[in-house]
Amino acid sequence: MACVVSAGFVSCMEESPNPVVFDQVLQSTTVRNRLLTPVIIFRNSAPIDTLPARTDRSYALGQKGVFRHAWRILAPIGIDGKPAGIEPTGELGIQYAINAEYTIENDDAPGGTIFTPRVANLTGHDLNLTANYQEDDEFRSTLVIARNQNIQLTHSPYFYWNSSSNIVLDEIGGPGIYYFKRDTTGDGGRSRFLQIDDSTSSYNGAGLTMPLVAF
Amino acid sequence: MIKPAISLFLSALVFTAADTYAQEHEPSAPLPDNEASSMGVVIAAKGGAVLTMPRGTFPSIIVGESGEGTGDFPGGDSRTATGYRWGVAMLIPFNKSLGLSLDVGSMLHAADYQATATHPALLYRAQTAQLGVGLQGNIYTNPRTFWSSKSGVGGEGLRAIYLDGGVDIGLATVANRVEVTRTDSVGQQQTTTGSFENNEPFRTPVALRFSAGLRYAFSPHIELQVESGYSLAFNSVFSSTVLQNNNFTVDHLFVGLGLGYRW
Repeated sequence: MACVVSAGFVSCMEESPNPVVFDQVLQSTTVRNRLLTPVIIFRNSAPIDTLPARTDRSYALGQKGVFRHAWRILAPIGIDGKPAGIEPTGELGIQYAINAEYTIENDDAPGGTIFTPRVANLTGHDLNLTANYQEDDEFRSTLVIARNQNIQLTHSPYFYWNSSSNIVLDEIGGPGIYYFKRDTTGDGGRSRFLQIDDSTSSYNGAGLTMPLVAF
Repeated sequence: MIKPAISLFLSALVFTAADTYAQEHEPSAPLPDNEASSMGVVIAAKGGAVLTMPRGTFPSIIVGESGEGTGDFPGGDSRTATGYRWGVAMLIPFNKSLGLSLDVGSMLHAADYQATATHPALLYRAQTAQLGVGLQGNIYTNPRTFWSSKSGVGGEGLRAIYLDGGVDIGLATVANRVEVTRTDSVGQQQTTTGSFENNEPFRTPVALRFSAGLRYAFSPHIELQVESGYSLAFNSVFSSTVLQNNNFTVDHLFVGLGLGYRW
């Protein structure tokens, strides 16, 4: 008998890939989007809605059967017409509850925790944003943060959060470069601190960083 | 005549008590090499068979992406099904007759329903990670089994008979599997298998556990444990947030052996 380790426990029973659900009518699916970006909601691989940032919405179901839900980030578009952040797809799994509730937070993304930089551009130039510069998951976006403006918190770009995450802001047409890192020790004061803001209850689960001020 | 009789009785009583005490404590001086303590902790590898008796109604289910409902499975259509349980058991004595029993392990149990005119045959199996916590009290102990002489004589035999009571908690459902067997129009049996994809449908099962057993010493430190117990479930298997008005529960009878080391 083959045994496998699953969730820290030894299992000696082979599970079937065939799903089992209860023979009951499922009434609704509620999704809470805690991210600062719209997400596309899928039911059995078909999109059913685009849920705006920081919004809850219920979707009627009224049927029996196997229903799988998923979500995908809709990243803002850069000036090159391409997504200016990652767009991972997260699985919510088979719905078992008659009225199911799912919450999408920054640590629910497949591949790891994600974050979005809270940038205040107080310079006289537009800024261009690069995340995780010189890391394996470097993302050079063409998102422009206009001079004397904050980054939009209703449609923010997301990136993977790792031990070396950083944000680089380049002045477009100017000489300035602003560098924010998680670990600023030993770099002679060239960078500033990058940290997810867990203390602001109104942005819990969003993965928003503490303000990154370029001036 | 009465006073001498009382004196004689009391003398005999004291003598008997002293003799018993001396017999119990006699080995404490010369044989530390081959001696375990009745207050010593016991750790044992334990395993055995589990007989599961379902109560209530197993709910109608749909197996597969486009399957049809099976219909409810009343408790009267169930058969006792066998599984197994294995793990590590620990006894921490408070004194010579009472201790804390801990049991960590894995249990595979099953609920088996025969086919009727209203539903097909169903075999539901689940493997759960179990934690048992209880109080264990000895109703018989033989202190001579805790030590042997320098020549190796003694230190074996029936050591204790005990009763145990506590709770048995299913920490998590590690795996599950459902087999539904239907008979088609030409009499062929078709079996469809499936699994609940995640733990959302399951509660954390808690059961009241009673057991009785004995410990047999092969040597002062090595002992065999033979135990039989019954777990009476407090709550239903499936979560009420997922499935309303369902009372499907599982009770278990356990018969097993353990081999342990006593300090």
